[in-house]
Amino acid sequence: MNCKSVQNRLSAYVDRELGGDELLQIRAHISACPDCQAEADALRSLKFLLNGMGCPEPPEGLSERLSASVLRTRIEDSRGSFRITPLMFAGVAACSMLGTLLLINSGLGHRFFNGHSKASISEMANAPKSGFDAAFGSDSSAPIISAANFGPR
Amino acid sequence: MFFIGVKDKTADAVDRVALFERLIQDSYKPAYGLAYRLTGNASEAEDLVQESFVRAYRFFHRYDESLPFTSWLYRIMTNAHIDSVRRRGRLKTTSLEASGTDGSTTWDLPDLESSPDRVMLQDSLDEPVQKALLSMTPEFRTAVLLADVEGMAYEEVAEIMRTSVGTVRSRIHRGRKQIRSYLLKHAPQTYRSYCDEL
Repeated sequence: MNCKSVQNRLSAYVDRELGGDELLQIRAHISACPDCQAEADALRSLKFLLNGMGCPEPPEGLSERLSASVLRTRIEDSRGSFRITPLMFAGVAACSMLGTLLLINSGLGHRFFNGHSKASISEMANAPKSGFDAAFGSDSSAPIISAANFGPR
Repeated sequence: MFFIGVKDKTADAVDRVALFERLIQDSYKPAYGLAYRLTGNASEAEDLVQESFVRAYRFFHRYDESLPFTSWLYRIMTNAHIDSVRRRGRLKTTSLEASGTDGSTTWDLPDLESSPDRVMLQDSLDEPVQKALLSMTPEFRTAVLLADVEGMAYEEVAEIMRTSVGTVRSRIHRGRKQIRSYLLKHAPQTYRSYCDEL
C-alpha cells in the first residue's frame, strides 16, 4: 500500500471505522512512515477540535415557538384535508343496510314475497339443513315457518 | 359510527400534538445546535429547526421507529438544508463575511500570550472552523458535522444521509482536509498552537 492510498483511508482509520486486513495494513504502514503518521496525527487533532466545539444555545422562547408552529400545522391540516376513513365508510354502509331492512319489513317486503309461489316455499321447507342448523341442532321447520309468515295471509 | 371516526381522528391529532410537544422539549437544543452549525447564523438556524419539526409532524406516519427520533429529525433537517442551499444556487459564502453583524456570531479572540491553554485556543478557533464549514458543499458539511460534532458512526451518518458508508467515508475525509487547509490559511498560528497543546 503506497502513501496516497493510505492517506485516503486515514480519516476512517482515526475514526476506528476500519477492520480486518485494511486496518492491519494501514497500521503497519504508519509505523514505518513518518509522513503518514504526521497526517494521521493532524486528522486526529482536527477531529478533537471539531468534537470539542460548543453547542450554541438556542434563543429564548424557541421551544414555545416550535410548539406553536406544530399546533398551527394541525389546524391547517384539519381544515384542509377531509378524508373518508374506512370506519366512516363502514358506518355509512351499516346505516344503509339497516334502512333497507326496515323498508322491506314495512311493506315493500310483502310485495317482494308475493312474487314467490307456494311451491317454491315448500321447496325451501324440504331443503337440506344448513350448516348452522346441523351444528346447533335446531328444528328445520322453524325458520321456514317464519319465512312463510312474510307471505300474504 | 361516522361520529366515532371523526372523534378518533380528533383524538389522534390531540395525541400527536402532545407527543410532539414532548419530542420538541427533548430534542430542540441539540437540533438547534446542528442547525446553527449547518447555517452559521441564529436566524436561519431557527427557521431550519422550525421547518424540520413541522415536516416531522406532517409526515409522522412515515416515521420508522427502528430509527431514533433525533436521527429521523436530523435526516429531515439535513435534507431541508441541502435543498435550501441548492435552491439558492450558491454556497453561503456571503454570510461568512457578514457573520457577527447580527450579534449572533461574535467571537472575542483571547490574548494568546496571557492564556495559551487549549480551551482558549479551541474557543478562538470556533469562528474560523464555522467559516470553514460554511465554505464547504452542504453534503461535506453535513457529513463532517454528524460524525465529528455529533459523534456519530459512519453507518449512522449513512443512514441519515441515505447514502453508502463509502460515500460518507469519502465526504468526511475530504471535508476534514478542507477545514484543515482553511485553518492553516486563515488562522495558522492559533491552529498550530492548538495542535501543539494536544
